[in-house]
Amino acid sequence: MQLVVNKKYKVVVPDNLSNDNLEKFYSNLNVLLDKKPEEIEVDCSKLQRATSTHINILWDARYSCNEAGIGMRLVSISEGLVRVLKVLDLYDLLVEQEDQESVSSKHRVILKIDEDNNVIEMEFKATNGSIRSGIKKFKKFLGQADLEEISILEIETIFYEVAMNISQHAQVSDNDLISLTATLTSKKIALKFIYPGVSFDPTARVKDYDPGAVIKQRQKRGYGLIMINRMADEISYKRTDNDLNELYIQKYWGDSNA
Amino acid sequence: MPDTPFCQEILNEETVIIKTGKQLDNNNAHEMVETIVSIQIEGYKFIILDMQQLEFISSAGVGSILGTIEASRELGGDIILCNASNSIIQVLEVLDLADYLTIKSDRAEAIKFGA
Repeated sequence: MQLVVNKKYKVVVPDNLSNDNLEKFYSNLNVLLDKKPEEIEVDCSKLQRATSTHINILWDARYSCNEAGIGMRLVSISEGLVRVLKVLDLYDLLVEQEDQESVSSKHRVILKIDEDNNVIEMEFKATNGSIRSGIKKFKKFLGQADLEEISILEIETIFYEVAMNISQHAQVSDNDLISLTATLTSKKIALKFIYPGVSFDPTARVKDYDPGAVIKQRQKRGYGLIMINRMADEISYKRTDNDLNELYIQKYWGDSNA
Repeated sequence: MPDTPFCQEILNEETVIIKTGKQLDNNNAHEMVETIVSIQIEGYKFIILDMQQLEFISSAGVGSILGTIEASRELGGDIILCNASNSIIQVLEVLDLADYLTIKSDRAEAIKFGA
């Protein structure tokens, strides 16, 4: 009789964040990602504290696994780490299995795709975790189109920057939902964001931009709207009669604006 | 060296290499700023940002670089980007940054620039 051992793919988060330990962690993680298992366990048993750096490591691991389509599970999580993750609004994203219907719906993205896979409708909260979850699902939707890598990255960037700007400037609460309807054709994608909050017109806030000057002025913020406006081919905004904001963006690819 | 999530390597008395992760966005841009500023305060003139793993850079990530370059240049050094994918470079070009940033194809070229 053959004994089948269920092999675990595990990477241990170091407590001591020396360069060597960090290199080793990311190297081990990459080795596991290359094996493409169904799930990677991220072992937190060594953690005696939870600094922002540790949280970033966990975030990186989650992001890498998401990108590779691999599940990630934190194991041996201390109560202290749980508290920190909850304070940072990252618990559901990093600990809960977001694709399981039974768990908290805090970051769950409400999703609807039409029969032809040409239209996706989604709703997500204006939080970093929910926005990231939304982008993950959105990228799967984009994956069906034969797009160049740069087009996918630009569309992802538009999504991210729009959502982050809404989150930061439209005065929405963490419970408010941002709605996105994306329509994909062979030549373009149309994105319609509908969101509550104060009147916030991203198209009206783009300032003159001089790369040399912003470097001299050591400007660290304020590039999101510029990126949106330069990456998108068409962008329009209106305040609806029922006090919602509607942002409509189109991006073309190929040699036709059809 | 500051305790940050970004791997750092001291190349010599003037140069430090920082390796980015897969993303540089609102979640970690402030830590990139802290890392760069700490290195600048320690007197290193050249900071090489190795972007080999970088798959996504947001406006905050771009800002973390743009907002800190001048301090290095005032020291007679620079922040040098290397190993960036074509897609990341195109994102930077969307902001017309190609003429304002020092971008090298790989580490060897970046190190040569700082030598």
